[in-house]
Amino acid sequence: MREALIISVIFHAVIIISGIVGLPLFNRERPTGLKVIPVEMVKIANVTRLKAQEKKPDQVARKKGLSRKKALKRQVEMPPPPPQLASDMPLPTMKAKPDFKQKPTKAVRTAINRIPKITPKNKPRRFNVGKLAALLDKRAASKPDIIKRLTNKKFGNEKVISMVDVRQQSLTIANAVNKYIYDNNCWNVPAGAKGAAGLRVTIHIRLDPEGKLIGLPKVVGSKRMNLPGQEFFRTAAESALRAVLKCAPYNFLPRDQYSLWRDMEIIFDPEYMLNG
Amino acid sequence: MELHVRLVKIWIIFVGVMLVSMVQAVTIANARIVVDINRGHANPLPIAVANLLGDENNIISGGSVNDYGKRISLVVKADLVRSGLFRTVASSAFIKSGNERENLLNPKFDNWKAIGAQALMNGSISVQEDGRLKVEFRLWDVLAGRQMTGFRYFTSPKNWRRIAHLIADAIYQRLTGESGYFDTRIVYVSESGPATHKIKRLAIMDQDGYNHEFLTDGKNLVLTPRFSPTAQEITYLSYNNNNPRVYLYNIDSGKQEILGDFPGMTFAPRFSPDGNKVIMSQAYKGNSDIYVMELTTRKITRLTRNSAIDTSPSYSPDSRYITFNSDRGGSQQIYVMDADGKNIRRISFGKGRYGTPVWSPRGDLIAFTRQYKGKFYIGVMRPDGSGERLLSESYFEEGPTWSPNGRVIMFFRQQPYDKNGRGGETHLWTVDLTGYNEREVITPLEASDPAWSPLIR
Amino acid sequence: MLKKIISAKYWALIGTVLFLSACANTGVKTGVQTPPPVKPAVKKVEKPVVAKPVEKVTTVPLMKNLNTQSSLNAVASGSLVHFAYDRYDLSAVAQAIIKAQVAWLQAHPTVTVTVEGNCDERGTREYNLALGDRRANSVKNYMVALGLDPARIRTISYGKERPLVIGTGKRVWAQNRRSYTRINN
Repeated sequence: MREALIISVIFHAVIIISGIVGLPLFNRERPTGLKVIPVEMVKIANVTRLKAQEKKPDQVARKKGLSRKKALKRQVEMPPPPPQLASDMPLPTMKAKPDFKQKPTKAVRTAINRIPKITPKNKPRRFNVGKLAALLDKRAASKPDIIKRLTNKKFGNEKVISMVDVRQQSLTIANAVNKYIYDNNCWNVPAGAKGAAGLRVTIHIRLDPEGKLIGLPKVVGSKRMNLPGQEFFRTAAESALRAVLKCAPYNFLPRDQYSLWRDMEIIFDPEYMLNG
Repeated sequence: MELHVRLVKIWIIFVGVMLVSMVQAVTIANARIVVDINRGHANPLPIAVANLLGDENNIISGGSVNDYGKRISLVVKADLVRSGLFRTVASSAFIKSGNERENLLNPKFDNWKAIGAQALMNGSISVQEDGRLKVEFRLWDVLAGRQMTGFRYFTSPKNWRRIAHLIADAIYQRLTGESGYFDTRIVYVSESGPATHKIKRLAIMDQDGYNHEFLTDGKNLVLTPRFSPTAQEITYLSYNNNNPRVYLYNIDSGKQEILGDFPGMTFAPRFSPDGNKVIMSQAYKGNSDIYVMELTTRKITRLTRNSAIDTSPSYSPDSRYITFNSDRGGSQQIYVMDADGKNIRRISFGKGRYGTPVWSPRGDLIAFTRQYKGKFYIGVMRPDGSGERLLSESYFEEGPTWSPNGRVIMFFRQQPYDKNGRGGETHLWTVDLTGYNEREVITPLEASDPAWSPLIR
Repeated sequence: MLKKIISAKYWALIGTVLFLSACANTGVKTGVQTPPPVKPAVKKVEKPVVAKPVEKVTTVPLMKNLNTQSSLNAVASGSLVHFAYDRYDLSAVAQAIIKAQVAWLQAHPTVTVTVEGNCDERGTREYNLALGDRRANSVKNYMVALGLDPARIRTISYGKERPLVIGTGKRVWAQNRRSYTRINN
């Protein structure tokens, strides 16, 4: 009985002391040294320029066009000339000569002048990835406002503020990961998937302190990948998996905040890319 | 005992405090970082296409079995690259290690990862006793280190190109989630001679321009060929006997027959999705309207009765609607009506003129030609007329036709003439639904009026 | 407009002269070697595949046909009627040309004609086939209104398949938007 009492007293004492000493520590440890990871917010202009630098399809096509003469020599059995000149259909009997010989310069100029040199205001809209990117970036640019709103809110309670700080820090890390995956070309958006609205893929990853993946990343709700008729989801999920694998290791993350990023969920949503 | 009571009290308070802080700690720990990614890249996927391994010493007609393997891999590569969705890793970069045959089933993924490949195709080729080729391939996810798909094919050596297209289709389907379009053919009008009296022949070729054949000799002017859904028949316009009428051409038998006994010119034919009907225009006494003919009974139904020009009809894939162009509103615009000709409504409202509407095989879009301010455009819009997007633009282009998966559009484009009257060349082009990856389709002569076949079964 | 007609007439004249000279040549040839073989070259230009009955008939109508077409061309501005962009109505000038054609045709009651409708290249193929048909019928209807027997007039549309002039620009396209009244043989 006495022994038990002593053990109990000692045990409780230990708990109380650890509670008195440890709890404040536990609280203090959290968010004090806020480290700001330098995350460059991608501005609309930047991305638009980036996109603009992409090789234009027409240039490729033109190059192809140049090499066409060579390619044209593909061996094809040419047919014999048609039996009659050009069908029973009579040809225009008039031997009219092209108009260009009369007043050549003027005719040429009119023809060229017909092509407006300045893009008309109501020119038909061509599908433009640059515009699409601009649309996306507006969304991205609105993110700091959320962070600001969070930090500016006065809760009057220190603990709650620290939670906000954690959230802010998490956002910074999330933005860093987002930017890293984008800048390193890790995610290739699955092209041409239809019904892109339902193609959000959530990947769960676990990282070691070095930023290396622990185990293979997991698709949340991976059962759907193997259902018939869900080929587009599988494609989307696989593209997301490839993105996460290709970008590993994530060694740019602040090691002293490992507890924040050792478990992460990365959501890949192709909708804006596909339906922009 | 008093001490005891006090201790219990303290303990209770402590536990309370503890619980609160623990809940907080758990909440913090559970605030797992969520990264929301909605921008990515539309870069081609890097894929390594290894040569199919075959016996170098086994010589069959046309080369060694290993040569056939190389050729098939080359065609697979060309198909994938042409789609714009893939980039092949140069085979010169391949890292060789170990026994190649053993590696077929156990690829050294790290080696492939090291050269930037995210997918790998490998396989083997051999000759059966009956002389047929046996081709096997596997597609691997290099980053995850596992097989994604694999197939085995048997065919006679002269069909090796089809095997290559089938492999490319399987890879495309597995990696994009939609069916491919490589095992398909194109029927089109081959052009030669000066513009004032062009010689036009029907011609057919594989989607990549190989296996080219002329179907008609150029004696008659022929226009606008279109495939039946089985790809066995073609309907087209011929000026045979200087009498422009819609004809039917059977590819296997080479037999041609006139469709119907119309008093006026029939033109702009197109098969219904089930292949049992041909929809077309008849121009009679200066007025063009749309008619449909049942092929088995030859029964003709008139669908539009309007003094305007109604032409270029195309069925929706479910056969419930027909899109066509008409100038009933004052200029050429696109309309949609029910399959019985009722409920006609205009869907194109942009500036300029709209023509040649063609319903996508997926049903979600209509491709068209738009003419505006001296330029021509190929574009798509939804069947209700919304979401118009222009995909390509030039001095002159028209006549869109869809790849069977609704992903690529082929059309023809004519260059302007220069001041010396030269130029004006007409060729086939493809463009991706995104408006990117515009490419010319190489044909032996000038080319126009392409029609894409369905997947060959 | 006037200029256009003048130039059209000018070309029509050249065309006529060329044809006449060509005829003269063939005429001489057939005169020298009377017997069977009809020159395939001549056949290519003027006569479609329709099999011809006997030798003696061959030479004479050939001459006559060429002459009639050129004589129609001479009186009716090259037998050409021009149209505005995406239009098929007849201008006053066009009506005058058609009147001249009808007058000539009424003077040659055995002749039947085909009115060929054509378009410029700035339109989609199928729409242009329909538009060409409209133009040809527009001319035909006017001829009938002027009293010509509709049974003597056939129409055909070539859409944009048979331009008269090759090139780029408004003037070229205007020349290609036309109907041509061709005498059947």
